[in-house]
Amino acid sequence: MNKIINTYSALVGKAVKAKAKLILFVLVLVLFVLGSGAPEAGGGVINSLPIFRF
Amino acid sequence: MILVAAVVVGLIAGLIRATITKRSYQPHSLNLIWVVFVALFAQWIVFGFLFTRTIIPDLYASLVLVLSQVLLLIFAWKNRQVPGFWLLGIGLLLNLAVILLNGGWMPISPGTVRWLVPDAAPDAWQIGERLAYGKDKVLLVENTRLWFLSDRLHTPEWLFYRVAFSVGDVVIALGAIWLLWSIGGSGEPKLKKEKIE
Repeated sequence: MNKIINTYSALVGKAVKAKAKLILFVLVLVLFVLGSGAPEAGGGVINSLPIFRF
Repeated sequence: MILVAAVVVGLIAGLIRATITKRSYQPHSLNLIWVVFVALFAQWIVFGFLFTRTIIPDLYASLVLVLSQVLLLIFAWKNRQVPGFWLLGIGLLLNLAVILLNGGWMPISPGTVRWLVPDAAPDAWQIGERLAYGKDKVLLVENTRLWFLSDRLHTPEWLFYRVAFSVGDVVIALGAIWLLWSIGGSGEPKLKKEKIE
């Protein structure tokens, strides 16, 4: 994780390092909970789109 | 979406806590984050992307579901020292257990499906079959192993948003809230930081 943050910080400056770390942390957590759970039966983001409705 | 809502609630609560305690909101460093991206990409290909999810056989789809959740379990184990992660891991383990014991799919009862989509066409789903292109399989309660861990819970009747979820999902949601809340009390005090600078 630190490697990604450091690479990103080198590109955009250290001032945004803390924010970048927080955004990546939250992104990873969101992806983790979406992958761990099975909450999308009928009412999730994907199924709520008309094209995907069954 | 209830899990994403839990993340939002936890984040807001953690930020408020950090503001009150005058600490910086600094998240913990995580190990093996690439595993999460790999697992989710695989799930997206199988369950999300329109052009692939319709052609991938159910057998492979269930295999990807199980393997991706095993990867996420490894990620949770590697980060178990972070507050809340053991709860995230337990929730995932509960979901994985019921999925493994029911042929690689999360079981959902016909009653719950009828509640979810009351206006669905009669041939839109069948008992014993996968529900649309999702992670669920419609099973009778008496034919479901560990039925109490299946997608048997649902949002209240008065809520416009209908979704079914499992006990494991609730544990995962609590873990996410705990994790984000704990960060609000673990950062450096802001006054101390200013002095150093």
